[in-house]
Amino acid sequence: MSQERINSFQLFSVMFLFEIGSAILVGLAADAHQDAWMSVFLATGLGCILYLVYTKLAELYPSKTLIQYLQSILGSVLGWLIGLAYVVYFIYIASRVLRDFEELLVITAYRSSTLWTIGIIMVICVMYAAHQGLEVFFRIAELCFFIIVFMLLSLVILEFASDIMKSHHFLPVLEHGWDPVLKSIFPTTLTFPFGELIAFTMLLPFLNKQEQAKKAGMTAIAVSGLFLTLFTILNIAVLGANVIERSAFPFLTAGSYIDISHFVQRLDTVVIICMVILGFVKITVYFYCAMIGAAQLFKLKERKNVIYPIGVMVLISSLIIAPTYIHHIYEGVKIVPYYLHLPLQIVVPVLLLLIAWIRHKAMN
Amino acid sequence: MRTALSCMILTVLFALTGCSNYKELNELSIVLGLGIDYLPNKDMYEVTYQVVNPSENAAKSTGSGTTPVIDFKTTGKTLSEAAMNHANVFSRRNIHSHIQLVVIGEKLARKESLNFVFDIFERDANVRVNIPVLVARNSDVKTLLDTLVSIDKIPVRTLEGKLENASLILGEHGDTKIYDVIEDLTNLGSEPAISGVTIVGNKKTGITKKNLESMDKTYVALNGIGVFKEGMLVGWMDGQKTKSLQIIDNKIKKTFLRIPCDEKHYNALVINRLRSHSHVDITKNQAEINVQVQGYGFISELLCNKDISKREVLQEYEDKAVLELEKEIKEGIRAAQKMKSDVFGFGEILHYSHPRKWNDYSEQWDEVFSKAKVTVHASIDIEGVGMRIKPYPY
Repeated sequence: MSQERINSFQLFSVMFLFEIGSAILVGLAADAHQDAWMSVFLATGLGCILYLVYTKLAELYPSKTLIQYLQSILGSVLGWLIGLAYVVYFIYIASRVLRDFEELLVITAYRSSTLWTIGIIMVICVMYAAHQGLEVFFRIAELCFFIIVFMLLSLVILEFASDIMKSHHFLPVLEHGWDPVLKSIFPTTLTFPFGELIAFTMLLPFLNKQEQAKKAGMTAIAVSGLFLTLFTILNIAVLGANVIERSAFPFLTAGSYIDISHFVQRLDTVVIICMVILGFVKITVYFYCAMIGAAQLFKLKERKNVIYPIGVMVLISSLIIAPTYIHHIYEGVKIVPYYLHLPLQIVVPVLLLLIAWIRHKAMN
Repeated sequence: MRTALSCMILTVLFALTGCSNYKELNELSIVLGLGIDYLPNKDMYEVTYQVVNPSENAAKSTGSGTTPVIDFKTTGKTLSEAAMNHANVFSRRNIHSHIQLVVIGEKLARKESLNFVFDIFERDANVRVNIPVLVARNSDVKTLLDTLVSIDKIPVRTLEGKLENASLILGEHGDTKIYDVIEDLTNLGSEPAISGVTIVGNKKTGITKKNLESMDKTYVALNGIGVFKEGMLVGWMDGQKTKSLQIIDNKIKKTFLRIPCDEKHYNALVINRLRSHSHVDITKNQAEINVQVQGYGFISELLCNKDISKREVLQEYEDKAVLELEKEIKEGIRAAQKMKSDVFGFGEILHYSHPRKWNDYSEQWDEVFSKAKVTVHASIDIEGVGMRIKPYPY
């Protein structure tokens, strides 16, 4: 497994795209109303701390993935079981993200298509990327990084140029105090998207210079956090908190308001293109984690053998996890952060780190 | 094997080029304008579609002299039902993504309400919400959209042009978009205000081709601003005081003021830039609204003989212009207070600036607003007088 190598800029781009991923699409911290941008900004800081936990673990167990050091820290049985939970978790989140994008495309662009059609096409792309290997995928992501940054920044400029922002949408600041802001940071905004970086504990061993993992990751979190804050601010300025709470895809709605002298308009397509790229990156990252994890758990020689089973699982579970988009969103906001994200992204890694530390101390 | 497989995939790709739900251009009708009205006795929505007739609008006319647009009406308990019902009436499939204007009927505005009418515009991914809204005043929506026009050919486009012009040059009518209306309907502290349109002239000849041939044309004109309360039209605001809406919202680009010169005559002052700041406060159930306006302009016309090269004269005109501007704004606010509808969004201003006080009064804001004390402070700088310093019979 160690012949595949990625460099730190590639890691940065994938992390950036992964963080922006579906977070920009569904919007963050809607519970904090017009102060959502504060939540996102503060959650970025907490996200950095969480990432330090992940890199510390990687430092203690160099060139091992999460699945591997779980077994060295917790013993082979418990470690294996929790490792299995992580693999299932990665598959589940991959299918959640896939569902987000299926719904986006069916609701907006392909209204006569079924979720199946979109899902199959997306999964085929993801499986192809998985088949080609990590290096190929990371190089593609490097290219996508520039495309996405260019498109997103042009959307920002166009939103400014079309004079649709209203400063009073931010007022009154902290209308209901700090409570809603803090509540929306923990656990929702912290776990989604920042806690999702747990996926990178599976990919850090592939980095060619291990000492850069911390720097590249932190930069990626900071930059993507600022991007998310910027887009939360823009969404609030353009739409207002009320519309954001009611919309399925606030960012898309904000993009569709752009109208520069009846000439530059209907830019929702640009947003959809961005989202397809971002969705692809995010699903593929989770897919990789599930693939590497499964291969290591079951001690497979060739990890490409699990591409088809995982692909089919991701596709089918994306369709059966929720009957409608509303349920899907409800689960994503009310259930998944508490019962899945919180234990697997925060509790387990922090406990692992503590145990590992104690063990290292004891050994010395 | 590889080549065979790729060949097969390529062939399959050709067969799958997105034909599952294709529509040819000649099977589509492009809806440019939408009129929504209500039939109170049947409890149904009545929707008028303005569909463009492409051959009549071609640059080199290939048409056979029929009308440039086709209007038809459908009814339904919901707007979607009405939209589907068009299949019974019209031979092509409507696409709604190019709607440029929505006209609300007066019956809908007075008897039903605007509250849920715009839901379909938000919910449907293909329809825009950044399109302007108008209210048909004293006339039926269909007749209004039917009135044929010569210069732009398409009635909806002329309406859109008039609205745009009026908001840019005169400042009496604002360009109210669907999302503005939705925002005003959702916020407790503001109510929507939507410009009205009426037919001027003979309604019967207006809808025939004769209208294009005659010089005594029937046309549609912007007329007043409809004031809404809880989604219902409660009255109209007319004349110069309608400017106050644009001034307080800071949407105004350009406008003019009358300056009384002697008993009968006036001078005209064109205002180029205008900024306003509004403050709202509330003490012991008594709201105080304070509007401060700062304007800059130039004299465009003098209708009496005065030497404006003198500083005192200009100063006097500035003072008179200030009085006139203050009067217009106050009258506008008073008209809204009489209708108990806060179309200016002062409630929202109170909400931003004093969130706690707003919480106490948000429920009875309409009452509080109608009794609010209003003070307006304007200041105007006359920056120029044009090409002549003194008027001619001097």
